[in-house]
Amino acid sequence: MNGQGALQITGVCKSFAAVEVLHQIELATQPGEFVTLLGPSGCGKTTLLRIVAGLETADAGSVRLDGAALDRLPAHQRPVNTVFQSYALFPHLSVFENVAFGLRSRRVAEPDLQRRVRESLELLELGALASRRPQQLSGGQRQRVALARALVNEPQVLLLDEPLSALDAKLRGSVQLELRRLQRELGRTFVLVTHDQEEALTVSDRIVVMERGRIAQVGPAAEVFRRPQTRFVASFLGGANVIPGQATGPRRVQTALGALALDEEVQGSVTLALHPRWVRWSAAAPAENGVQVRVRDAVFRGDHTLVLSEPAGELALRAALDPAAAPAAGASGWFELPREHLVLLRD
Amino acid sequence: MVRHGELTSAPGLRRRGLLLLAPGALWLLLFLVLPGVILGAVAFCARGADGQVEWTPSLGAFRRLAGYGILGWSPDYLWILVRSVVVAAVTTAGALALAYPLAFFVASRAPRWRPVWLGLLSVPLCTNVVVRTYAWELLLSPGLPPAQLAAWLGWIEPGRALYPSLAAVCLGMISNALPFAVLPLYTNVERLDRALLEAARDLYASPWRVFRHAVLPQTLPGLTVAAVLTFVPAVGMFVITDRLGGARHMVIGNLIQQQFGPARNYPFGAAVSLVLIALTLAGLALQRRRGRGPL
Repeated sequence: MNGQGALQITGVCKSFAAVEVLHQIELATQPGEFVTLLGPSGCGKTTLLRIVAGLETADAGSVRLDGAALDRLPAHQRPVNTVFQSYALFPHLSVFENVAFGLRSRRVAEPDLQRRVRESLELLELGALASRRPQQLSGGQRQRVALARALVNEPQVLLLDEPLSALDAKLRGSVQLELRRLQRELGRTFVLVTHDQEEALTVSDRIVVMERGRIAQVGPAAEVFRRPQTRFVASFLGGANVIPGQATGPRRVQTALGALALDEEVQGSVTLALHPRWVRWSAAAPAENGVQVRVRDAVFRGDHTLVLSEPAGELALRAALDPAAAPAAGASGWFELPREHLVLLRD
Repeated sequence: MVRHGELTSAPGLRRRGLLLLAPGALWLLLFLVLPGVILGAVAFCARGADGQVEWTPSLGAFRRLAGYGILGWSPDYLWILVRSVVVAAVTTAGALALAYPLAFFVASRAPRWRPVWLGLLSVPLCTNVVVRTYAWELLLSPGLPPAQLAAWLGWIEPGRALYPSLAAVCLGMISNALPFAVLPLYTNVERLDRALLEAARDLYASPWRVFRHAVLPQTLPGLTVAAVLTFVPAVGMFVITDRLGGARHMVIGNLIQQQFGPARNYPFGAAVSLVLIALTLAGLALQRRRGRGPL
């Protein structure tokens, strides 16, 4: 099974009535890769997933799996399976029969079916719940049944449509790690849809950031986080500060906050991004890239304190600081924007 | 004015509960329980020579219903009971078979057209059932295409009408029941969880399996309500059966009407009515047990 599950999406377009939902989507996955489609609601990520599943038809373009076109195959003939947001478990069937559903549809012989369902239930630690009905399970258990029901079919690609959104925060965290472990263990291609950037960063090999029906940026999780290419990606992942400016020298930019030094060479109009967590706070002016600020608000967030500055020329800065050293609202001091963390955006 | 504690304290709640219950309870007592008791009492009385009720305990009415008459045993009345249940069952099956796809049709229209379709389906309810039944008589009368076609196929003699017949009764009853079957099914179908259908398709299900596991279980509540709303009126119907069935195809409704009308045998009519009530309750109990079971 390994070495399969290479999905290739080319030129996929989709409109509902007059609204364009997907515009010329190009995306390829490696076999056994964990790819996340990340974006706000309405960005087209779920529609793209449904087109791969065969639950929606693309207006143009094509989806290929290991070289074979899927476009003309109906959903029930595609070697992919979906974990639905609502889980969509059959309420009149037991956990066992829910998991066995796909195998029964394909008339897998009974001994083989029994073995595979058992294995699948064991894999997700559902063995003891086999005879229960979905209504008798907790949210987390239902979620695992939905996973088992899809994985038992050994799909080339597993599609997950916001599968964790109905779980509470603590459970979500552990299921994310579990998903990642499962995917590594099985070596299958997983495509996950989410609007939760933390989830995307936790589970993915690669993140596909989508914005209004287009792909904004594709790359390994760390790269997309550290080196966003557009304002949208920068602010969607980690809520970066976006600072527009004019180049005044090869490595200098004049902004509303003052002159900033960069590591990269620039010219003309530029936009810089800086994640709040890289911003430093000091009472005295730092040696370089210091911005004098008045603290408008300081919000304790557990592992950090989010500090907002009074806007300077409509530009308010956000800094995630160590709660022990964070200033209180009304305090005056300096933000340092370290040059090595300033990212040059494309737009 | 509601005083503090009056609504929420236990005695206050109880007092208010009784007050809310009173009008409905009084109504049911006067017009359901009391007549029921009278009906039950009359059923165990004898008929006087002039058709008056003799208040002496008697099982005569029930003996007669079971077939024991002056001329010995005959199954005529039992056949009427059987025929009533069969006609009601056929009506229910027919109405559900027509209503099921209709409900899906209406639910799949654009939202602004759905009320229009539901309105069209309910139009027959604006006309009296007697008028509708006369309309069926006209449609089934000799010389019109349905009767001509049936004659040409050799089902009936040329020049005869398609009624009175059990088929005509079922036809009339199904058309009468259709709106009552479509409405509960439609409200059910409209709220189908489409994710279940997609999940079934995603799991390689054939169209039949999608229907069997994703659609049918979800529409079972609507089917049950539709079946009850069709069967219960059908088993007691007498207008349609009288006009389209005639004396040869008498059902329980006609028998009751006849006993309280021309025959003036109140005890016998009351006994038949009790049996009808028992049949209806038995049907409801059956449906409840099915509803609780695992499909």
